[in-house]
Amino acid sequence: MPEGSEAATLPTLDPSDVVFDLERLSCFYGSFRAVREISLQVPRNRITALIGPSGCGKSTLLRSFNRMNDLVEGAHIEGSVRYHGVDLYADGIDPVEVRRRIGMVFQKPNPFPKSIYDNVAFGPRVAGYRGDMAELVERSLRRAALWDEVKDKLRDPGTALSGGQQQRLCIARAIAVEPDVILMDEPCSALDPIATLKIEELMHELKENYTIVIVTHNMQQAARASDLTAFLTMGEDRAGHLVEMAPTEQLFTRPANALTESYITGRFG
Amino acid sequence: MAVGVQVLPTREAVEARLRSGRADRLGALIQGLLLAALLIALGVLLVLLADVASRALPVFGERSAEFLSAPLSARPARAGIVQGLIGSLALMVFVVVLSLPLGIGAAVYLEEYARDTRATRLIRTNIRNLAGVPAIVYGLLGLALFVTLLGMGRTLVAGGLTLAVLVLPIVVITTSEALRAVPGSIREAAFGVGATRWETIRGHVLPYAAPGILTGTILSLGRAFGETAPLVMVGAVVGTFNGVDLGAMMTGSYTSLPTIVYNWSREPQDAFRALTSATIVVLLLVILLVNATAIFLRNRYDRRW
Amino acid sequence: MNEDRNLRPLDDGDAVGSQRRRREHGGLRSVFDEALLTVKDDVLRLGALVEAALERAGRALVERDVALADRVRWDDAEVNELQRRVNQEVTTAMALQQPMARDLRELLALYHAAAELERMGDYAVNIAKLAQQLSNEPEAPLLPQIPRMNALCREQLHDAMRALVDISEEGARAVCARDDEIDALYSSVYEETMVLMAAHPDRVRQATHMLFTAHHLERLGDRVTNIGEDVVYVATGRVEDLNA
Repeated sequence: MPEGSEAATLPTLDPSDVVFDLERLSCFYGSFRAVREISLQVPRNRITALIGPSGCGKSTLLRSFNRMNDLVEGAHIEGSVRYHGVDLYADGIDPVEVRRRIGMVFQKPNPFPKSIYDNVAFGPRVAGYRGDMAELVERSLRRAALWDEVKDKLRDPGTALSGGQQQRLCIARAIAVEPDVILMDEPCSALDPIATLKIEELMHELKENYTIVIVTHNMQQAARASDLTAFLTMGEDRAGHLVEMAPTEQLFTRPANALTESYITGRFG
Repeated sequence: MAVGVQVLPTREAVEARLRSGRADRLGALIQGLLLAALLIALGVLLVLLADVASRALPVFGERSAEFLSAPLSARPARAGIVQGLIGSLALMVFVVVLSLPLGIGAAVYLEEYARDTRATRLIRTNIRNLAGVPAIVYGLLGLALFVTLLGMGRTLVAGGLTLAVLVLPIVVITTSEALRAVPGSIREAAFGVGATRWETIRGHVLPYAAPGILTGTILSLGRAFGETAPLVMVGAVVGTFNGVDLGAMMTGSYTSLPTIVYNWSREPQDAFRALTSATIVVLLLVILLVNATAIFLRNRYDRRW
Repeated sequence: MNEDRNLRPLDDGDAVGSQRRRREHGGLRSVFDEALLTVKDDVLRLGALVEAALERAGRALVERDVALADRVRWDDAEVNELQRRVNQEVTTAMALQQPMARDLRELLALYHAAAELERMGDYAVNIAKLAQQLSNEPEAPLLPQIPRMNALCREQLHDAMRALVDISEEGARAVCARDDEIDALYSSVYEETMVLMAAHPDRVRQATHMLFTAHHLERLGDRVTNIGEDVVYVATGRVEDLNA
């Protein structure tokens, strides 16, 4: 299929439902283009999955949603990322504030080497939270389905938990700053199957209050857990581009694009 | 073994193979040699310590209290090291107050804020070089800069500044190593919840690196404590002088424990042998104390996490 | 219209609803569980529609009610539509949720049951058509076995649906065993119609219609046992032939 000659088919969203609106977004590391001209929309209170083969720029794309790529030297973008209509990369936009509204959970659980309590409390503290911290910590841990397991050991180090619990702690930590969006970069790839299912179940509950975007190389997970799926692949220029984006049910049963079909049936070269 | 023919082994054949094994003779020999090296090194140290301790015995046996509280004197029977103790401690204060904040601050900037350009790489290389410069060169620097150019004269202040400058590159390097050992995932996690760079450094990077930084700085303190040549160059008194309290030493003549050792070791009189050894013992004890504090503090920090 | 008077509601006690409530909130695979229960709901409804169609067709036969027979033919569209929807739901659930083991067997059993029920709906339509043809002919006494077979088929269908919802191996085997009675009734109809045709040549057409009706009912009974076999497969994982 010739590169970029076919615009990817996109689902139409009600404008009031759009959280992210990307227009011809390209992400560069120095002169290397990692992501090429992606245009898509992410709806609120849904789980949107980004799937595709390794190296196709899914993580780079995800990290451009909350300006995490800023931390890499030489990273810059072309095109625009609009969040509730606001251009995230405009002058004067504070990336720290961006990351408070748009939280992130990473591939390998990375709790701080502090107590469970302090792990969750750190974000609100630096954000200047003046309310009842203990209550906020409990609320966040409950929402992350971890409270019952740790309520008696809040002073224990976060690193003493199991992998699945650590990841839920990281989710609680992200929730504690009361974001609007939670980005998840392959959150289950370091976890065993049961921990994975627990996190998927948790995501299902979370989407009531948050918008979730998840990058996963596990297609079955995208099929099980997401409402919309975007399939990206790497072109000959080694930049990732969008092939197809559709409601998950449609993408996995009747994909419109032949490339999508060959990927999800496992026949991708 | 014929190619392509699979011969199933018998139990006896397998057992014979498993039991034979190559005796790791070379490995055993080397292990023995390494052990010998360790024993020799330890042995030399122990012999040295025993020698020094035995020579120092007369001093401690008869007049340890006076030894520790008396000033320098041309007469061995009356000589003490109190001036050296005070001087060394005062110098250490200078080193701590000056080189730690400056060194740690510089390292934090280099590791956390500076972009990786040719300039920063050049700076890093040069700091490493500075750490290897012989101490006496720092003495010359102190003489030219602090004593002469800035007109401080041969005072404790000049000596303290010289030592601080000497130790600075070491502090920068050890702090840099400790900061680099902090996993990037922790920084990422902190940024991910919307912390600023400084909040991340203060809340996570520095606490995580603290044990390493502590160890490094205390080691550099120990190094400064034992320096003689640069101090002699910038004016530590090698003879005797009056002035036993700190005030006098700040404005006038001063000395340090290693300088006293240097001085007394050159004295022809036999009696000074014992004094020299006794001073060495005190020196070693202080360094031991400093290192023990370092380990204690580091363990306390480690356990908190 | 009081044609619903003979209908017994299947979900007495709302079997599927109570299954839904019994699953703890927030258990693992809640999305799949929900999908499975939706499919079950729809298959149950399909069963209820077919049961109603069968009842009406039977009554149209007995009462020579052409309008009622029309209604059965008309309502079959809903049966087909519902079966197509079940197909879609099952396909989606398998693609998206990757069910394994018993989940997979259950889903496949429901898929197959829906297909059987759709065929049974077609039989009911055929019976309705035969009822209309019979009412065009001069009246002939209806062989009593036929209403009896109809009633038995409806009971079997009802019990099979129950077994499907609960995955009750016992219930399924019982249904499969009772099919013998329907087969026996069919045999007797066969014999009697032969006698009837020989004795009353002027009633050959009616006799033939009655024979076909009984045949459809016997085939319907077989399809019900197929559903029973599916239930046993779900419960035990083994494929058994229970159609003696």
